[in-house]
Amino acid sequence: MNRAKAHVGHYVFLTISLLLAMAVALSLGTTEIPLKKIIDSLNDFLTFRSASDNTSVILFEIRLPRVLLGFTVGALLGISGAAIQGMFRNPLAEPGILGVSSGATLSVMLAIVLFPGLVTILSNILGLFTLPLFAFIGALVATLIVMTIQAGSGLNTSTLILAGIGVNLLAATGIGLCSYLATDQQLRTLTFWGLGSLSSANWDKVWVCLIGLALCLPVLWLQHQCLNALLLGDSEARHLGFNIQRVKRLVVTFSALAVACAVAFCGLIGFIGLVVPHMLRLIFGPNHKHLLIMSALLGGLLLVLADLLCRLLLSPAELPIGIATASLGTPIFLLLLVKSRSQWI
Amino acid sequence: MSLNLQHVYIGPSNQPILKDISLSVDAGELVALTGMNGTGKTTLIKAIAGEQPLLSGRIEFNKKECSAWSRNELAQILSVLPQRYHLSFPFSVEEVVMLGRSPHKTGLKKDKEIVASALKFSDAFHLRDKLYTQLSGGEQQRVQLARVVCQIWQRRKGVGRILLLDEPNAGLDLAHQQEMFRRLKKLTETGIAGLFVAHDLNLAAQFASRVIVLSKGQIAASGYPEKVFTTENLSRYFRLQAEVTKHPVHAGPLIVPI
Repeated sequence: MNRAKAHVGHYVFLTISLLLAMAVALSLGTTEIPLKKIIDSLNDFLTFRSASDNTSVILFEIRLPRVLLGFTVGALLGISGAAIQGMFRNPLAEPGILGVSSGATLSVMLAIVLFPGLVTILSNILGLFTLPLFAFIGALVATLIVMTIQAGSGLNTSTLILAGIGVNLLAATGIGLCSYLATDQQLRTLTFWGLGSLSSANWDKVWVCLIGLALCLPVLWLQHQCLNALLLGDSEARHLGFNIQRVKRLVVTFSALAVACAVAFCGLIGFIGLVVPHMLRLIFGPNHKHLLIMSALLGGLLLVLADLLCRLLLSPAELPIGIATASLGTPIFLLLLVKSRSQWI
Repeated sequence: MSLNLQHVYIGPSNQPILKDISLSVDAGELVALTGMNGTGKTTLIKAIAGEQPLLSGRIEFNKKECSAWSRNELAQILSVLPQRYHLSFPFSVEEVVMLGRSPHKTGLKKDKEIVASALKFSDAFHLRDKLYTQLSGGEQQRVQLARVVCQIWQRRKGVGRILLLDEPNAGLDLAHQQEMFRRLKKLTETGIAGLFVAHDLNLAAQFASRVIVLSKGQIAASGYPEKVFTTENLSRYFRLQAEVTKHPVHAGPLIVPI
């Protein structure tokens, strides 16, 4: 069998499904927009003809940024999950489970509640990059804590999960403290991060996340050979001539960056990073050359669909997207944990 | 000399694990490293592989000190089969062996040829499309051996290659043990310096060109198998009561524990 050709087919299939999901997500909602209208409006949009009727406004100011943000954030979470699992050599490692996402959340909340002055000053300089910066610091610290604990224990899955629980608990305590100290108005902002939502999507956020994706995906993808070798073991990867210290630093930094972008604008969205690489590995194997790119595509696809579901189920009200991804992801996580007793510990 | 160690000390300075190890292995030699549990065999292999910091002494590959080699250059001539491995992700067998080609830039076509030869070498070619995680322990060992061998498969003019094997026969059935060592011996004769750890003394006697015995972190005996494997040495360094006779087929010693 020609595997390279088969993979081209898979990429095409995933891309087409993604575009279809996006089209459906653009068309469905409290007001339905027919596909014909979407294509016409897109045409106008791309040729810079301004259309100011109501449907166009809904389409370009609300739905399109939301769908694109959903795709980008899903892709960011997917690749960070795939890269972190490869580095930890453990299919249970995931930004949410390891406490990376909650570390990022805590960092953002601390900044908002304890140093509102600093946030305002930084916002004047960095604009929309301010919150991702704080989230990045939190994500990085959380990853480093987990790595330090894990380093002492060899490859123990239980240690990894326990370290994640520890970091998550620590972050939860901090988050609790922040909500206690927060003013009423701050509190409303804080609850947004707790459950995750794409409802605040706008074009600026889309651009920042796209820049994040444009940075993280190439950097992580370039490490695919070493990530493959790392699955054999640290020493084995070193014997194959890889500079694993450097690669690990890159993976930690850029997966933290990916999580930070996602958390800063959409709050805690769990399990995309766990479920997506897992499903892909079952079908295509663990080769990171394809796994990373496919995780971006499938992660984006899943989040666009999950968001659509959240908008439609209780329409016109919205379900927080974190609940949707968690209800999908938790059973798979538990299943993996049960399986891992025989395989990964 | 492809591999050369001079006065190597490893471990805490007040109680080193390895003391004053000097040894050399030439291209074309297959040397056995043996000794009781906990005498430092694996530590020595790890030290040569660059996994253990040296307290003092020096290690040279092709007459160039180990620290002077770049990671990638070294990976092209030095290949290591560890005692344990932890691959728990479902790579196909072919993909696992292909990882052994990562230090080289020989192109996909050439790499595939070499992978196929290496898989045939370790009698795992028929497993190539299976998932590594679904293989038995002995089959996994053969796949890992193929990976390690394909890393230094190509003969290169004037460049000695080095192969370190920590218990390569672990988990293999007797027929595969014999066949694997026969082929390893042939392979090293193409210009590879081979050093393997083994507990099976008869296997060492049959296939090793020289034997090095470690005891309490030091080289206790070294030389041709018939010189090293004497009743006296066996009882002193292996705490083994054994008769040593001549092997009925090949000329080497045959160790019969009593």
